[in-house]
Amino acid sequence: MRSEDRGHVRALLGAYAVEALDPDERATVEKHLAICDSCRAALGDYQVVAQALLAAPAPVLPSPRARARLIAGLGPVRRPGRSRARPSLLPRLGLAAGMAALLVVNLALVWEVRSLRSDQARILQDLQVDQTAISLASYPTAEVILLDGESVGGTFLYDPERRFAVVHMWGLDPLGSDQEYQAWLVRADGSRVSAGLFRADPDSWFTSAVLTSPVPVGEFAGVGVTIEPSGGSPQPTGPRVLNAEL
Amino acid sequence: MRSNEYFSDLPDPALVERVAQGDRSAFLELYDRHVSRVFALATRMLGDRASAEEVTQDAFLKLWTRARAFSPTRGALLTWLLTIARNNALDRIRLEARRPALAEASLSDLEDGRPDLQAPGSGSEEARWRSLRFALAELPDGQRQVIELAYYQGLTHSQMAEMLGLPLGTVKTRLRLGMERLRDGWIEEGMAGKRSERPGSDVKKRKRSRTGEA
Repeated sequence: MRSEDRGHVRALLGAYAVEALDPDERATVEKHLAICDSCRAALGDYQVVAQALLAAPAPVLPSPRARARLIAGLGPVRRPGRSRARPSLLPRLGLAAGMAALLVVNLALVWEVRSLRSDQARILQDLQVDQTAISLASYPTAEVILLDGESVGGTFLYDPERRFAVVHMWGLDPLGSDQEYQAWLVRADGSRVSAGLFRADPDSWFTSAVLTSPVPVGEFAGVGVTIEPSGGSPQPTGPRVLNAEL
Repeated sequence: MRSNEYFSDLPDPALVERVAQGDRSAFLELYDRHVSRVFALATRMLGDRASAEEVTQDAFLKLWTRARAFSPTRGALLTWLLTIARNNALDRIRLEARRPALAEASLSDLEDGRPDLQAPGSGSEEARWRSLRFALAELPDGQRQVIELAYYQGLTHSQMAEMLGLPLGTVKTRLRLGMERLRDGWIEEGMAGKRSERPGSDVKKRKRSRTGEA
């Protein structure tokens, strides 16, 4: 190798390590590196620097959401050998079976996504209820009362000054699609105002709901829950499952 | 959910082996160990957090699905992850023709996320990376710029010359001088590190106070 080549290549090694060379010069350098030990050694020093440059930016954490999303996205690990060995053993048949299996998997995934979406909607709703409950509980003037019912129980969390409240219940029966639970706020004169509709959570012992009121909750004398036709009623018509005095 | 105490004592290769068997806790330990560096590089290259998060996710998903492809004899796991993230980020930069809007941005501008105070890496490794960061920041602007444009933005000599409106020879010279300086500093730092393992050798102190980042 001529020495002027070596000098030329030496001057390009730093650029080579950070991949800055244009194609023709890169080809020249690579050709020379293949036959020159001392240039390869010199390149080594630059490559160490290049690797360190990858780690050089000051560490920054991504959002915790990114971690949660990553965990949620972890599929099963590809096991060694299995997927690679099969096609070569049973070429055509294996492929056809594989395609059929993929189709099934795809269909299953569609269902999965659909059910995940509805799960997500439910979880968001639950989250909203929980956040409301937490913020209510943090008011110094918040109060909790126990709701009574037959084989059903609950608590009612409210602040007399606020126009919303959270009700937690346990033991509620899941209802058919034609019925819903309806919450009522009861005035001192016995008249009732609807405070919201909800369904029992089929997957949990507990059901929670945010109730809303046209006036501060403290103006009412009681609270109750009845079973009503789907969509709710202007006044209670169905059986009472829970009630309490405020 | 912080990952398992027991795993925090295991070295990377042992954890990678477990990941290859489908061990999620081992995977999360590796994620927590390295994510801040991978994310820092991606953010440095792409400039926006959303894309940087995606690139970071992709790199770790690759670790999850392809843990067997990683061979500890060929280098550190962190380097493997960073290389994947860099290639991925370069693909995006080229695809979106997102040519370097951040060429002028200084290092500190981009370091505005939540710093990871428990950044991984042994003390001396960490100190060397940090000193390289300072060494880079201390290069004359023109030299630092071409190194960053090449390595973090994927530009070649001639592309940089065109973009910066400089003669090709100027770009080549700046890149060569800059890389030589970083290399010399790196080697000097390595020898200083061997002479004294204290995390504040004189070289580092000097550099830190010069950049005002102590």
